[in-house]
Amino acid sequence: MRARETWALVLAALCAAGTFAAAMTLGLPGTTGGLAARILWSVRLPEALTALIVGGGLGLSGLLFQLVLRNPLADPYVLGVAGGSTFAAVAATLFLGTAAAGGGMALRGAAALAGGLLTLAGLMKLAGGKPETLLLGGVVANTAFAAGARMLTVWLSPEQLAYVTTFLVGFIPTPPAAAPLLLGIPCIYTLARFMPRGRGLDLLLLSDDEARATGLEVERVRREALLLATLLAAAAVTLCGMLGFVGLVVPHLARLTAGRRHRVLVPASFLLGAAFLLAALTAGKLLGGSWLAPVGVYTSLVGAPVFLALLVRSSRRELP
Amino acid sequence: MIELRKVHFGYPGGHRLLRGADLAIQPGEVVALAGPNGAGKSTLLRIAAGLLAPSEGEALLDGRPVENWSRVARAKRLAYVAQNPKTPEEWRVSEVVELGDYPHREQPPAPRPLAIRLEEVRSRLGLAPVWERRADSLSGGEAQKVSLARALVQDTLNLVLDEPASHLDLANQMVLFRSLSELAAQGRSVLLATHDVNLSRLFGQRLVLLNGEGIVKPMPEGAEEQGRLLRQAFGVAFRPVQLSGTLCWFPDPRGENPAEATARSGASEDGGSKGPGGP
Repeated sequence: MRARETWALVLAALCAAGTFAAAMTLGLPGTTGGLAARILWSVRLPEALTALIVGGGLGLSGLLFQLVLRNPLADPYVLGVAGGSTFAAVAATLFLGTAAAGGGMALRGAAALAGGLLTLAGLMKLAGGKPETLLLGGVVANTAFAAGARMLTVWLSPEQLAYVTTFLVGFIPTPPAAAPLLLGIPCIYTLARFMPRGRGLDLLLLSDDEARATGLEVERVRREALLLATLLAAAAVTLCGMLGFVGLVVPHLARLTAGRRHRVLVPASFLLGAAFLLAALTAGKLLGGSWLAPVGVYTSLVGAPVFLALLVRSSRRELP
Repeated sequence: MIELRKVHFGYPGGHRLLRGADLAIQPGEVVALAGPNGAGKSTLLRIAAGLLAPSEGEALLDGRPVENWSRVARAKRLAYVAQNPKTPEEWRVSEVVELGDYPHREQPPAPRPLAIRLEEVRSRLGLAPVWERRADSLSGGEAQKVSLARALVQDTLNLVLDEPASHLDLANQMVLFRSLSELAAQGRSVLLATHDVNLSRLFGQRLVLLNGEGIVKPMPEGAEEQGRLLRQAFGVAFRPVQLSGTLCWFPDPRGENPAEATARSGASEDGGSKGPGGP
């Protein structure tokens, strides 16, 4: 590993650690003693852990989508995968209730995964490998799924409605500490699977024929990466709803700092994704004051202009 | 060693490109494959590299059907450069070239240390001035050399190169063909597609032609036969020029109109097919 790559990883790890500490401690109401300790351990810690793992998972998911679909503007949100997952999860909420733990969450997770996978498979078949069609299809799917989810809210109880409203924007719940495991396991699996295979991921940047002739099982790696990217996105949706733009922005930040090689980009995207969402969580607590906006508002506020900048940059690059 | 036995192939909806193509490239040999556009050169190369399965016949790599080697084992024996290689965005040349080491990392040991192989291709292909530059900022010819360098770093005994000289200037074409002869002299089998019917022969390499009939024909010995075969393959008249003891062939500008000839050779390519004769 080169010096720059090592430093970029150290920096990303420091960012993640720093934002984690900030999310734990900043903006605590002026309490001391037992109450402060209780807030810290039973509210702040699970929140920060969830943000860490969901942010990291979305960063990884975005990186894999961008690589496999050869499209720097791809991410689970833009591709409609998150939309499909969200719709399925809202539908599951309608039937199963809002229970964040136990069987309810597992079933909602399964519904979100199925929704995400079906959306991705449908869009990829529709687009037939054309990146623009895939992205536009994703945008259309997102809008349609959001409308569908809103429609379902007609039948929701007031309690379910409040939950689904924040779910559609994206929020960090205060789940039991075990809940982040839902995403922790696929995150760790993806890291363990793809960090040592970074070179194989690099080969996906060549043409398919050349990657095959260099020894890569292109189809298998691509299938596995797509499945894991969708799983990570679906798990993130199950926990936190529809968090926009994290998966889009983070891989670009990782490339800016850590270069292009995937054995570095994989961990860097996880760490920076975690830092991004933890920072958004903390910003929400500090800026919102008594009005606590869901964290998805902040990720979208930052993500949307970055997305536009990338869009402009890529269209300019294609000009003769 | 690369071998094709009675290979047939046709794309769905298209006419049959290859109709019993036979070709063997022995260790120590460079074989240049020429032929008109659309004759199936790239298809034949992809079949030889195990990237496409023939509809009939078989492709052998070092004596075994090419599909029987695992991907990595095959990549340790055969390297391939596509006609239009893809350059990863914002990667340095050195990093792109290093990608060729993949099969040896997956399945050690490597034949020789990576540093030696990198240094060798860098000096062989004259890549030192661009070594740390961004690969996607290079000219077409330089990018082509980078892809070739990546394949050479694979350090395989078999090389399949699809028009490796198409973007190269004249000096670089000389460097390429000389390098291929040197690599073959080390015991490698090299198969390349080309549009130049002379350069490979000037370097003592074997030229074979893929004509509209879908079979591979060797360049014959006699001048008259050579001229006839070239005319039949490309549909234009050729004139011979003796150069360094090699009979070189150039299309005759005063010959018949190539467009008419192409139309006629296209019609003959369809062979016996009885399509609708038009409106």
